[in-house]
Amino acid sequence: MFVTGLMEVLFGGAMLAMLADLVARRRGRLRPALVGAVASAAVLVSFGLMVSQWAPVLGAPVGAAFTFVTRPASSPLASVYGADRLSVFMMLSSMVVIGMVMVYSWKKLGPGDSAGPHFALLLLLLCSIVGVSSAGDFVTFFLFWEAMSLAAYGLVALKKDRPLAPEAALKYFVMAGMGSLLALLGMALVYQVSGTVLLAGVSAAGGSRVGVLGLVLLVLGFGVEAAVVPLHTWLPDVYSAAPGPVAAGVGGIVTATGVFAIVKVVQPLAYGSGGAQGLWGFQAALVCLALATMLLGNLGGLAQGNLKRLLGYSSIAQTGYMLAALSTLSPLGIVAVMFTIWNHGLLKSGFFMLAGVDDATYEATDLSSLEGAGRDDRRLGLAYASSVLGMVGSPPFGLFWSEIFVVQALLAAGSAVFFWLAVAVVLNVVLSIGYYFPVINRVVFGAARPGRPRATSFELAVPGALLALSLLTGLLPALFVGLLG
Amino acid sequence: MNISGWLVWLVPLVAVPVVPLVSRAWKKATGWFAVGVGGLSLLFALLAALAYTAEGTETYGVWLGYLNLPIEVSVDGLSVLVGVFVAFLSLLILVYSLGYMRGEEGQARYYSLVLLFVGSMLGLVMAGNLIQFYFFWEIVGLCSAFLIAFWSDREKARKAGLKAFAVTRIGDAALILGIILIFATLQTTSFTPVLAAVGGPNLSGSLLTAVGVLVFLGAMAKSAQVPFHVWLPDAMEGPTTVSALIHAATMVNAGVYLVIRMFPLFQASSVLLEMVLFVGLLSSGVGAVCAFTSNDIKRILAYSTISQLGLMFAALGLGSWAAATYHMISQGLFKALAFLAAGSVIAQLETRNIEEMGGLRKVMKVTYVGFLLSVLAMSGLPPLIGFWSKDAIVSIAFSGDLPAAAAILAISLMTAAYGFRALIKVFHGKGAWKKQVHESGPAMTVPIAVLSVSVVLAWLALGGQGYVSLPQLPAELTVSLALSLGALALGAVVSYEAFSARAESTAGLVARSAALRSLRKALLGGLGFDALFGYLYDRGVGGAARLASSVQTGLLDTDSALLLLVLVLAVVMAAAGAL
Repeated sequence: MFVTGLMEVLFGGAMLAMLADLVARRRGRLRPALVGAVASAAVLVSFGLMVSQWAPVLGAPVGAAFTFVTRPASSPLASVYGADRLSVFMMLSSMVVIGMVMVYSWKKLGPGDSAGPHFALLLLLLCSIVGVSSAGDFVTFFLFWEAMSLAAYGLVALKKDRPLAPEAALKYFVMAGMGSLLALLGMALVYQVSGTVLLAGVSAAGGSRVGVLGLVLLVLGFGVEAAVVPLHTWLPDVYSAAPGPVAAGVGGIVTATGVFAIVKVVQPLAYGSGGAQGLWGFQAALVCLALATMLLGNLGGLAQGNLKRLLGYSSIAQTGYMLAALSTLSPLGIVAVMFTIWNHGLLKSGFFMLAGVDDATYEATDLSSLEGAGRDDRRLGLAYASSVLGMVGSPPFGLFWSEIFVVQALLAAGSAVFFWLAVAVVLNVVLSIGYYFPVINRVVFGAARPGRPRATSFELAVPGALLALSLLTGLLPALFVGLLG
Repeated sequence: MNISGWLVWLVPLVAVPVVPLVSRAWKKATGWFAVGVGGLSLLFALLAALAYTAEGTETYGVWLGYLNLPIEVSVDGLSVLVGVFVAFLSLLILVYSLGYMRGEEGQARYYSLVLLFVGSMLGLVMAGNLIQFYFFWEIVGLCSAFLIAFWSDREKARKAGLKAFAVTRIGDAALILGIILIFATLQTTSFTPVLAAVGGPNLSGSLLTAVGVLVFLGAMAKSAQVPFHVWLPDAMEGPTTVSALIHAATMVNAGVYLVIRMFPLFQASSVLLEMVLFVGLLSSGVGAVCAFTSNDIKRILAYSTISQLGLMFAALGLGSWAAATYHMISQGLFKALAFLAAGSVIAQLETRNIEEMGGLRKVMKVTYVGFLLSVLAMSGLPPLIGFWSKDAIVSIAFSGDLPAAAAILAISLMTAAYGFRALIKVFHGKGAWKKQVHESGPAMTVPIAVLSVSVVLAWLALGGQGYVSLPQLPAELTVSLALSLGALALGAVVSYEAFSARAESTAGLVARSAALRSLRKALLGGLGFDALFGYLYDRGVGGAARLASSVQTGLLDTDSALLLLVLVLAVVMAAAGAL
């Protein structure tokens, strides 16, 4: 089974990165690049390992196949893993995003930054996302979930001298910690109904009110990380306070992992034979949360004058669309969510890298400070304009298809509630133009201001590669959707 | 396989990334390269038309198996005819751009966007299924927005680009819902099976009406129909070449083209047809009235476009897709001609205000003849192309729907009146300009001349082509023809009297009468649609946004208190449930 292999490589890579940091401590500006090279190599090796072994997993239906157990299978505390297509797709998305963030970090970190911990935490983050993706029981799942959150707090707080960063990290820590508590209670309730800690036990929860309550609590608990309204309040602060590479990683994939955790909960219900019977209460809760999340995300975005906060609100809105698709409890909805995680991750992490060209202070990413930056540097302008178009779902970028998939999942569900939810989704996408186009209007078309520090080619190359990948997905969606079935 | 049906849109798209390279290697060749690509595209359009033998859809592999979505082009009479029309106009306007855009900064950006537009517009025309159609539909929209904002130092141009994108996207939101509703019902979006299913057990009744309304909302926004029309007059901030190509002749027709493509769907429901007729006549009236007051030559033409597009929808509402197709091509030719002539004037005088023009007929002869022919064609003078297409609509209205016929006649009268008003103010009387004015260069006059000839003669070609059976004038036309020509004459005379023979007393009358002044003000403001939407957006969305951001206190205490509350509530509920 390759999952444990992957985790060993990634974990070992983290240790090696710390070691490399120690060895290279007198290398000055080369130090981050050296440590980064070691860490990126670990991602590359794990990527190769995954691709070389994923054929049987991709060939099998979503669900129980390829479950395996570590250590004493008879023990109640045995760890159960179950990788399927969805897990593999999640791993792929996170490897691409975090791998790109690492490359971007090579030159972004200064000699005074703690390069070792930065790269090691990124690897641990990736390692725990791999664990979250493939966990088969609640105990294993929870362990990796907490590890992931810890790595994320650490990354946000790492640059201690950065204004606002420690406060934001604390906020993140407290909120996500309380979220974990909610999720834990949810797990307990589901266990009470189903009598098993296996994730598949969720399918028995629909039978009772306590079970449904457990499901709702799971969604709320993971929903803190996923920024489900009203538990989203930490997100804009964290995104805007985190340094560029970290914002790109957290905004690109960690928030999405929160949504993926909800996918894990919904998956046995969606792919199971029982259908959505007895779950209308759960579905109604999801529909309400979806509506509130997309609407508040977009309306909040309209009121922002800071690019990184704006991108944060847009992430909240995206979570709303994904929840809408999930509320159908159907395989179509899950595929729509997975494809959105991929497409949104590429664009959003690239966008944060663009914003990170100069984000030493909070004010530097105010739209008023960025005015005309894309006119001073045409390449930057093109990247900004493409990212905006991608984010509002214009072809030929990948997120265009995600919107179609979400709407399709809703309309295929065939009831009036979901029809109106689809109407809400498409209107919300239009609403997002209201805050995204001013970004073009000001950053790309604003008055030139000579003397501004120019983005280096390297700073543009990494987001450029992400945009190119998004473009490729937009032109040849089958290449990636094929992995999902 | 009709390979040209693919190359016609693929060639311009592939050329897009090449433009910046050409520009970097040899700046002066950028425009010529684009012209060459436009020429190739026209060649392939013609070859596709020649190779066309029978209706059919050509499929090339699978685009997205998950959605059961092939890549396909539909090669039928309609698409090859419209394809040739689009490629022909694109080439002419690319040539015209050589003169009009000479010396402008950002040539690479301009030509790559125009080629992206041309390729996507042709892709849209040739698309074999609705999702492919929508893909290109979105791209032409964003090309349009970025070309409107081309002179991005101007705040007005930037705002106009944003507005065009946002307003049309509202319609697109409805369109994509409609398309996916079709897909969710029929598991396909290819035109042939979808249209075959219309009226069958899967697609009828209220579902059919819902799909029709959603699709039509998309068409309305793209084709600038009331109340979505507000973006088009502002879109005139873009270069005149862009106004001619995108906002007069091709992209704004896409909505009409969509309804023509999906016409069996609309025909299946009288509610849908009546809606299309109503919206068309309303927009046509609003456009004509507003065109009469504006002093900006390009806004006059934009309102006129809204009005003419309304007539096409009216034709569709009356049940004749052939008349709508005819008028679509006809309007494309004479309106592109009007814009190119206007652009030639603007390039000389560097103003768009018709009050600052006048007396140009002697110094700019080719331009004058072009604009004159365009106005005559638009007013429906035989045998110019506008006569055939408009009288087809009038005569259909006469044979079925008399109130609609009366409305169309009234609009015809208005059309002649605003057309001649513009002609008189720009080219006749005395010039208010002081600088040296001369005719534009050959890059601009040759396309004007070519379009002038086609406005006079294209009806012969269109009558002789075998792709789409366009309406020939019926024998019992006499009454409608007489009335329609009467409306033309009356409109022309009114404008001549008001703006040439008694220009001063007209101005005095408007100055004296408070009612006329306020009417004029209302019309100049576009009848308040813009103000209303602005108010609604600021109050509604803006207010909601402020409310939403007030939730964000940034205080950890309040945020975590909420979570704690959820937790306590959950424990209580769990305990209650367990007991």
